[in-house]
Amino acid sequence: MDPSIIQKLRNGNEEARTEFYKQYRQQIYVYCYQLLGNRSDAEDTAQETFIKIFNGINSLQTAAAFRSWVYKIARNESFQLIRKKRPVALSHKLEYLEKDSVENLIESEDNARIVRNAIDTLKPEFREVILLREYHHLSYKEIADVMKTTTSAVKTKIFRARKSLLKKLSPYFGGI
Amino acid sequence: MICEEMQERISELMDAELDDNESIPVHRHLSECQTCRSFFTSCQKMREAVQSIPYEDKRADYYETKKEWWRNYVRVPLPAAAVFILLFITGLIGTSMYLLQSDDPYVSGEHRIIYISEYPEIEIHLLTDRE
Ligand SMILES: [Zn+2]
Repeated sequence: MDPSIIQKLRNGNEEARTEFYKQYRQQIYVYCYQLLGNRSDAEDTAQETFIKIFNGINSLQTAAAFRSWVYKIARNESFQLIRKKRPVALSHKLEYLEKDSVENLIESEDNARIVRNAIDTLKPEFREVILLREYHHLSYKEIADVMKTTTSAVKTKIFRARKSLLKKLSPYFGGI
Repeated sequence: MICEEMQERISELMDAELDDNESIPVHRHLSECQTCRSFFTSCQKMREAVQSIPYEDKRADYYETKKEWWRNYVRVPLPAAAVFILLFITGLIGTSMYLLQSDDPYVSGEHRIIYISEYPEIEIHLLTDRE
């Protein structure tokens, strides 16, 4: 993120907000969707996240931490909703992920479903690191900030998550 | 055993988390070890598969039509004059907090809250006179 945009956001500049919104709309929505598993919750939470970002931009310490700060807010908002809707441990949240909402956007729908199912049945912390890494392209340091853990813990989690995914997928993708 | 450690490093290598010095031994091992090479290839294939799944959908654009919808939700940064008022109010609240902590029965009682219409998020706490 361009540091000058962050400065403009701090000043409440409306153009900067529009610009930021355009750049981040998709990824924040997708991230919330991945955590919440349904569209309407993801929409509400994404919207709430933007409001929190615009209102709280002055609490951001350094421009370098911007991306992880944004994801952290989206994650907090999502988890808050999960807690509100269902007072159960997060490890159970996979039960209500929409398993079949993948649309036929890639060549083989079946493959997509298999891969997605493999991701969705990972241990929640593994699923989270895989999504933040492979979809949102966050660095280990950023993931550590978002998940409030250490870089070396992230490194290990990603490695274990990959091994676990390989195991789940090897029956389907012979080559893997 | 060494392969297990190497594979963790391969995972880091894939994520560009190793510097040049750290990646040299990993590349060397990859050139020598078939097992780790196939782990690497599998991870890369898997990454491709994972990244090709569509998690996003068209609804992500749903509130694009409502331009600058956040206007109603986002606080306007305070202009300089308001900052001055805010400082004044902070002082006032500080004083009242101090007074409220004291045991003096005269001040520890009522206060009322007023709002400035332009800045509804600011509360001004005024101590009311008992008399
Ligand atoms: Zn090896």
